[in-house]
Amino acid sequence: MKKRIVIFDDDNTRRDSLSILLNLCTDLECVGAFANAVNAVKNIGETNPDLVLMDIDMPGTNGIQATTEIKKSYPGLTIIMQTVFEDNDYIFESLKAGANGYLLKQTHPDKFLEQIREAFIGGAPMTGSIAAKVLQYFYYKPPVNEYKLTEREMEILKLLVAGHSYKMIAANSNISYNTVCNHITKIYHKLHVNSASEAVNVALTKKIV
Amino acid sequence: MVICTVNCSAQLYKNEFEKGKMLDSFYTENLHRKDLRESVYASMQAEYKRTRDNEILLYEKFLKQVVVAKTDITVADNMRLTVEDVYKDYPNTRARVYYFLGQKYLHSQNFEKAFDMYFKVEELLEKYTYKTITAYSTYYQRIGEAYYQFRNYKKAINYILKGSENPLLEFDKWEFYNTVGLAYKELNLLDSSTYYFQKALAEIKDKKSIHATVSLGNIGYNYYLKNDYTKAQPLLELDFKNALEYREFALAAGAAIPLADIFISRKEFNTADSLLKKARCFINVSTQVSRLEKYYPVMGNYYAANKNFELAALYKDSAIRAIRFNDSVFSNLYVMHAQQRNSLAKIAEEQERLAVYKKLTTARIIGIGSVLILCGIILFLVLKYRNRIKKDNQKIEELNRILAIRQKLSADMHDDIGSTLSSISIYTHSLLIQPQIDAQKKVLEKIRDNTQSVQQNMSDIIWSVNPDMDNAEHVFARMRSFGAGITESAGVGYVFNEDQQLHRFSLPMDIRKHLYFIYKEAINNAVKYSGCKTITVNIILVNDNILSINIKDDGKGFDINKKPSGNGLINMSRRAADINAALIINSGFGYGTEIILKMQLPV
Repeated sequence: MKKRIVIFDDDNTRRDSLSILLNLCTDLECVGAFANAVNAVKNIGETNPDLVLMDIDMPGTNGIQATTEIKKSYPGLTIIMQTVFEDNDYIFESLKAGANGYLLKQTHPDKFLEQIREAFIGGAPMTGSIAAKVLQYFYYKPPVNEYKLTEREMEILKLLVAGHSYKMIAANSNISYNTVCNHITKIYHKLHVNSASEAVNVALTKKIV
Repeated sequence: MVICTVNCSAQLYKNEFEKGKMLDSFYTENLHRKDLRESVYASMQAEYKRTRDNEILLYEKFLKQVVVAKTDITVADNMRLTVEDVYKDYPNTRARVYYFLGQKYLHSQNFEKAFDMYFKVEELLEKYTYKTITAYSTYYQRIGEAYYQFRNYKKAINYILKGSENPLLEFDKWEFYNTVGLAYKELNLLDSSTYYFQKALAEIKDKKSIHATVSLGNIGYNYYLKNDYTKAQPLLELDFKNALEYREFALAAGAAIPLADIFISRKEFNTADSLLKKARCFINVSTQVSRLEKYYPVMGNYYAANKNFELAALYKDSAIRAIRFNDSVFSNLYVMHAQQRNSLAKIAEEQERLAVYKKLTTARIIGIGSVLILCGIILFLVLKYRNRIKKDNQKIEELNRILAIRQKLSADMHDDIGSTLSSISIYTHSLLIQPQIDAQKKVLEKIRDNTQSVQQNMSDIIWSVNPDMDNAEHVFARMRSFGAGITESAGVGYVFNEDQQLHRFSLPMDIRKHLYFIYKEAINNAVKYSGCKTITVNIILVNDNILSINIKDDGKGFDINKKPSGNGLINMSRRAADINAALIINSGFGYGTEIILKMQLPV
């Protein structure tokens, strides 16, 4: 069964090229390509994808807002952010909003497909600069107990910051590649929960009962 | 001739005091001795010829004028008006002229003018002292006497005493003691008065002289005032007798009146009456009508004693009026004078205060002015400084704005280019997934790889100008990440070791960029051409300030002597040279390739 993928990107060429590539894969298919995320939730409702490729920088509703909206209605849906610039505060914001990972647009098509496939099995891509931001986030906003980072998780993030790849981390820490991926996934989860609960808190404090 | 003149003037200066005294004596002779006048003038002419001293010439003229002025008051008036101009260089002569005029006016009962003149003399006396004004004592004495006449007894004593200050000066001691005695008498300090009268008497050699008489009379009068009639009477009688002998009727009257009072007290009315009649007569003759002041009260006593109270009262009234009249004549002027002096003093004081105030104000103005100017300068500098800062800030803002725009443009550009390039890469990959002929496949791969390469380079450029990536830590992280990526794809082993001590250094933009690109080139070369199994990277700190990057592969190596075919190695050398780094390439067939980059770290 082919995995259903939906693309949100304001660049025509990218939408076109990606959808062609995806459709050429035996295990993947592109079921929708949208120029903006104004009607994201509706679009998803209509196309019923397994994975969403979300461009961050779009006119109208930007990727972060769209992610938030989608996650409300479809919390289990995997959303992977797309961006040209890796050092982008927006990436971190979108991750907090619930994205399951991000990929740079410049990623080699091979690697790109590989990472999408991994995402279906729970993998979550992350690079050094974002790892640094995650660490900072947990440092400055001490969360509720069970959502604190474990030592191992912090270690992995630090190694990511230092430029190690997942494979190198696995080699250095004497764990398997998969374990590393799992850890990253857990980190994301905690990020979501924390950011979500943070959002709730903010809402409560702002509400005038 | 010249020498003589010099000598003479020197002599003259030394003898100014002598000259003064000489002139004083000429004055006295000229005034009192008609017969000596001509010889006086002759002597003066001779002196003038000898010394060529202008003062002598002028003085001679003055003496001649004195003679005329004695009888002609207009001459005196003229002198008064011209004295300042004519004698302006000769204070001594000026004093003399004023003094003469003072005496003249006093005798002609022009009291106002007299005191005016005396005032001028006083001024000169205070200013020039006895050294210049040689008749110092005389003037003070005479002025003191004038005050005595005008009932300012304290001042009289003051002035007369002042005149006797300097022992060098000659003055008429009898006059001095006598007048002081009189003043003390008027002040009712009878003991001091008698003391001085006796001193005066002691000065007289000839006990029969008029001066002795006066002294005796004064002493006697003091006894009378003390009601010691027994002691008073003989002295007064002697005084009366001698006065008559000398035909000094005023003095006689002066003695007769108290005598009469003594006889009245003894009820010897006839003697008293005859004395009083004589006294009245003498007063008329002598024209010293001020004596009536003493005369009337005694007349009053006489009639009171004779039970003629009406007349007694009348006489007492007259006495009061006489006193009042004397007072008014004398005290008005006195008051006026006092007031004048006061005002003048006040004016002088005001002027001085004004001058001081002006000086102070000027000083204050200068002070405040300079402070203001200083403030102005400071303000100006501050404003200028602030202005410059503002301008600089504006410039910086402007530059920042331009930078922001440039960054936005480049971001947009990269975004656009990046998107397109990645699309090209994806399109190409799509073709590659489908079955291709080898030749086509090769081409497609090249297209894809090139676009990837460009995207990577763009990303590297963006990273290299990011100011937040200054720290050495970040640079090595990116190096490690790049190496990991490319080796993992190529299936090559990768070891990356970095010295944590290096983390304290920061690498500025251009150094960062060059280092990274050199590193990239080295890794790319190793991966692409060496056919190695493992690439090992060691980054160490040498001697605490030298960075050493060592990239070693265990590949096939190459001949370093052969000229390089591509530009890669040339570019590496150029970049190394640009950042003052040493680049060492070791390679040999079978040995592999080692690239060592050494650089001094910025502090």
